[in-house]
Amino acid sequence: MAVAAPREAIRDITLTRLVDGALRQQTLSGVGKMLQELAGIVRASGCILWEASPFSDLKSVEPTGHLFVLAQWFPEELTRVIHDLPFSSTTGEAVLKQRPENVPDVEKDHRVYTQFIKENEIRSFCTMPITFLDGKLGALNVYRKGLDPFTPAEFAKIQEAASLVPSLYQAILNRVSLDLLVKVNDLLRDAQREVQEQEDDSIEYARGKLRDVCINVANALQCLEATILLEDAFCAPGVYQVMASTWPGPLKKTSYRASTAHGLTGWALANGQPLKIFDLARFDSDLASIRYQYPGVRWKDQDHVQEKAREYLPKSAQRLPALSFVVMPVLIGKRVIGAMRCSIPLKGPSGPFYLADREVELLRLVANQVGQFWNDLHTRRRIRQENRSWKSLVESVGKLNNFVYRELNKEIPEERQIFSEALRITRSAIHGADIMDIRLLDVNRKCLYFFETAGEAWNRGAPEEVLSRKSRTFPLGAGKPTSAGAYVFQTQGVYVVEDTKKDPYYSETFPDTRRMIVAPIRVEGTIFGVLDIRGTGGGRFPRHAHIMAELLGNQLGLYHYLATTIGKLKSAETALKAKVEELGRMQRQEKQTFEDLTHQLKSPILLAHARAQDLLQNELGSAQRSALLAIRGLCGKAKRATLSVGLFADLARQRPLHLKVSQLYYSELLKLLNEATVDHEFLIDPDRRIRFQVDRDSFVVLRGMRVYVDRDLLEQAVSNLLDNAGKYSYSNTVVRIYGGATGKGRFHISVSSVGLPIKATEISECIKRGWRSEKAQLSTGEGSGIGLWIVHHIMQAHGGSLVVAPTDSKSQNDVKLVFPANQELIFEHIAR
Amino acid sequence: MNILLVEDDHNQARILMDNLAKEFPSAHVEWLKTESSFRDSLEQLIANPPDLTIMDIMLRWADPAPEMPEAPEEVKKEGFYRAGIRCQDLLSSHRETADLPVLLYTLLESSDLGPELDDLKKRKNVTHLRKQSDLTPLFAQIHHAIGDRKR
Repeated sequence: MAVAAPREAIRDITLTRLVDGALRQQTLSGVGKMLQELAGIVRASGCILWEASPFSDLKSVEPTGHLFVLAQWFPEELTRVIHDLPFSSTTGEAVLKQRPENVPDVEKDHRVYTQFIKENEIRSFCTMPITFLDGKLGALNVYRKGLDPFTPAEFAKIQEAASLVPSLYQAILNRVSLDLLVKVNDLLRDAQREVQEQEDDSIEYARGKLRDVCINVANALQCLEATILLEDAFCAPGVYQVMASTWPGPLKKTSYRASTAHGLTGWALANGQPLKIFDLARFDSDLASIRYQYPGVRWKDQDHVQEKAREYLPKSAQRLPALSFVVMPVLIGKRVIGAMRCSIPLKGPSGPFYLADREVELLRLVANQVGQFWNDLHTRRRIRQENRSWKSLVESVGKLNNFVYRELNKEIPEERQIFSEALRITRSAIHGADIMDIRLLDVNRKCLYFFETAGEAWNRGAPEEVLSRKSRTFPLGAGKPTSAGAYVFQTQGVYVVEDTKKDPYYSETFPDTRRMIVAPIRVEGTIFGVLDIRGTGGGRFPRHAHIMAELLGNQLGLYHYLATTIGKLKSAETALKAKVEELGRMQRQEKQTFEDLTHQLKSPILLAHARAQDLLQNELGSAQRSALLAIRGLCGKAKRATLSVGLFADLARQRPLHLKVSQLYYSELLKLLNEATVDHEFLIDPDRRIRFQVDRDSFVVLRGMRVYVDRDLLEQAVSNLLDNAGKYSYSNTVVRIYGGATGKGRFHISVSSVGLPIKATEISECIKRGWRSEKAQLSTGEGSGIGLWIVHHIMQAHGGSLVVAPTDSKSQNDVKLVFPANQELIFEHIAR
Repeated sequence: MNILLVEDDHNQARILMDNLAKEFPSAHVEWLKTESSFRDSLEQLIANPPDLTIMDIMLRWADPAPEMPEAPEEVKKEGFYRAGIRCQDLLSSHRETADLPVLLYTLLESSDLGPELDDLKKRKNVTHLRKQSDLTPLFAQIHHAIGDRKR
C-alpha cells in the first residue's frame, strides 16, 4: 500500500528536482529550462525572469529605466512577444516595494491587462521580487492561462522556489562559463599544437579553430553573432581583421581600426575597454547615458544590424527587437590586440534578446584565452620570422663577401658596386625597408653626402628634383646635431627614429618617411658614414632591425676600409713598379757614369804614376827623387782608392769579384812589394820615423813556384795591409814584409808591425765591414774600416784566406795573405 | 803675424807651410797635428792667441802609441769626422779667442757639412774654404781676414 508522502517531503522533492535540473544545464538556455521546471511545480503556463535594466534608477521618486526579460519559458511560441516592462507595472511595483503579489484575475486589474497578457490568453500570475547575487534587482513571474488562480499554497511554493532562483541562475552561469572555458581551452591548445607542427606561418588553421571558439561562444551565450577580430602585426599592423565569425552571411565590414570612426567596435579597440549596448533599440533614447559611459561612441551600421535581426527574429516581434551588443577587447597587458564581439542574443524562439552584465563577463574570460593564444602564435611567428631573417641575412652577407672578394680582386675595385649590392640585401633582410641609402663622410667639407641609394622613391619626380635630392648634404659639427646622421656621428651608435614627425634630429628628405634607422658605417672607432633605412608604410620595423642595421654598418665599414686600403695598395704597387723601373734605369745609368768617372780618374792617376816611375829611372838629385817618390806614393794611394771604390761598390751589392789572373814571376812580386813599401814610407809623417822593409830572403822559396794572381788585386791587398800598418804602428818602429811557404805547401805574403793591438776576441770581427778598434778610430783621420774586409774578399776570390794573428806581448801584429799551394786551384776556384 | 795651422796630413801641412812662408815671410806658423795636441795647447793659445787659425775638419785624436791620451766621451762617440769644428767651438767658448779669424780649410764640400756649416756661418769670424791645389784663394782669405782685424 502506497503511503502518501508528508507535505514537507513533497515540497523537498520538487525543489530538489528543480535544483538538480538547474545544475545539469550547460548553456544559458538552461535558465529557461530551470523556469520550465519551476513552472511544472505549480502547473503554470509560463514563466519569465526579469531584471532591472542597467540604466535603471530605482531610488528616485519617479524611478527610471525598465525591467527586461532575462529568461523565459512558455510551452509554445507566444502570440505576442514581450521584451520589457515599466516600473509602473504590477511587476515593477513588486520590485520597487520588494513585495510579492498574486494577481488572480488579470481582466479585473487594468494595470496588468496588457497586450502581452491579452493576446497570450493569460488569466492570472504571481510576481516575486528577487535579488541576484551581484545585488541587482529583478522579479520572477509565473503565469497561468485557465480560470484557475494560484492558491495561497501554490503562491507560497512559488515564493519558496523564487528564493532559490538567484543561486540557481548563478550556478547555471558558472557551469556555462566553466564548460565554455574548457572547450575553448581545448580548441586553442589543439590549435597551438597544430601551429607548432606547421613549417609555415599560415594562420588558416588558427582561423578554423577560432571559428570553433566563436561557435561555442555563440552557443553558450545564445547569440546569433560571435566574432573575433585580431591584429596581424606582421602583415597589417594597426588593422584588426575579422578572423572568425558566426554571423550568418557576409559581414558588412571585415577590418577595423582603433578609432571611434569605426563605430562601436572601433571604440572598444581604441579605448581597450569593454563596450556593452544593452538594448540597441533604445540606442538613440539612451544616447546621453551611453555617451556618458562611452565618451565619443558612435553607432554606424544600425540598418545592417536591424535588417539582419528582422531576418532571424520571430515575426511576433512587432517592433525592432530589444538587442544587446557587446564588444570585449582582447588585451595583452594594456595593448589591444583584438576584440570579441557578440550581438543579437536569441535565447528562445520568442526571446529574450538581452545579455545581462554578468553574462558578458563570460566573454572577458574567453577574450583572455584568445589573447594568450594569439600572442603565443604571434610570438612564435615573430621568432620564426626573425630566425628566417637572420638566416637570410647571414646567407646574403656570405654572398656579399664573395661579391666583395671578386670586386676587390679587380684591377680597379668599384666600391659603389659593393654598396649597391649591400643595399639590395638590406632591403630583402629587413621587412619594411622601402628607401635606403649610404651617406659617406666628406672630410674636407665636414658633412655627409649621399654616396649610393636604393628604392624607387629616389628617382621620383622631375630630373632636377632627383638631382637636388641626391645632392643634399648634412653638416657635421660639435653643436646640436641637425640630422639623425649627425647625431650618429656624435654618439657613435645606431639611432632609431620611431616617428619622424616627433623626432628632434630627423631631417626630412622624403615626406612619406614614417620611421628610420641610421647605423654607423665603421671599423673599430672610426666612422666613415651611415647606412639609412627608411620605412613608409604602417606598422614598425621588426624588433631586430636595428641590430641587423648595425651589423650591416660594421660590414660596410670593413668593406670600405678594405676597398680603400686595397685601392691605395694597388696605387702604391703601380707607383712602386714605376719606381723600380726608374731605379733600374738610374742604376744602369749610375753604373755607366761610375765606370766612366772611374776611368777618367784612373787614367790620369795611372799616367801620373807611370810618369813618376819614368822620371825615377833618370839621374836625379836627392830632393827631386824624394819629391817624385812622394808623388808616386800619392798617385799609388789615389789609384788604390779608386780601385777600392769599385771593389766596395761590387761587394756592397754582393757581386762576386772578377779576377784577371796572370802569372806573377818572382822578380815581379819583389818589385811590386818594394815599390809598395817605398810609396807607403813616403806617405807616413817622417816625424813618426816608421820604416818599411821587405825581407827578400824569405821569398826565395817562391822562386821555383808558379804564382797566378790578379796583379791589381794583389797590389790592392798588400797596400791595404801596409796602409793599416802605417796608420796604426807606433813611432820608431819597422813594418816588415815577408813571405814563404807554409807547412802544407801553401805560400803567404805577410806584414808584421808593432802598434795598436788586435785582441784575440776581435779576430773574427776585424774582417767585417766597418770594423775598427776604439784606439784605431782615435788614431786616424781617414778611412772607414773597409780595408781588411776588401782584402778578405780578394783572398776568398783567389781561393785563399786572410789570416790575422792576435797581437803578442811585444805589440807585434802579424797579418798573412795565404794562397793555395797548387795554383791550378785558383783557376778551378774562379771557374766555380 | 802668428798663424795656427791644425792639420793631420803631413804632406798637406808641409806644402802649406812652405807656401805660407813665401806669401807671408814675416809670419810665424805653429803646426798642430792632432785634436789632442790642440786641446793640450789651448791654455797657451788663450794666453797668447794667434792672429789667424787654419783649421782642418777631419782630424785624428792622437798618433798611435802604447799610452794614448784619454779621449773625452764626445770624441769617442763622434770620432774624427768633425774634430775641427769641436776645436773651433773650444776657441769660441773663450773670450780671448772667441773672435779670432778661423778658416775652416777642408776637402769637405758645403753640402757635406749642411746645417753645421749654417751655424758656423752665423759667426762672422769663421769662414769655410774648400782645399784645392791652387792656394791663391786661401791666401786671399788670409789677407782679407787679417785686413778686417787690423781695421
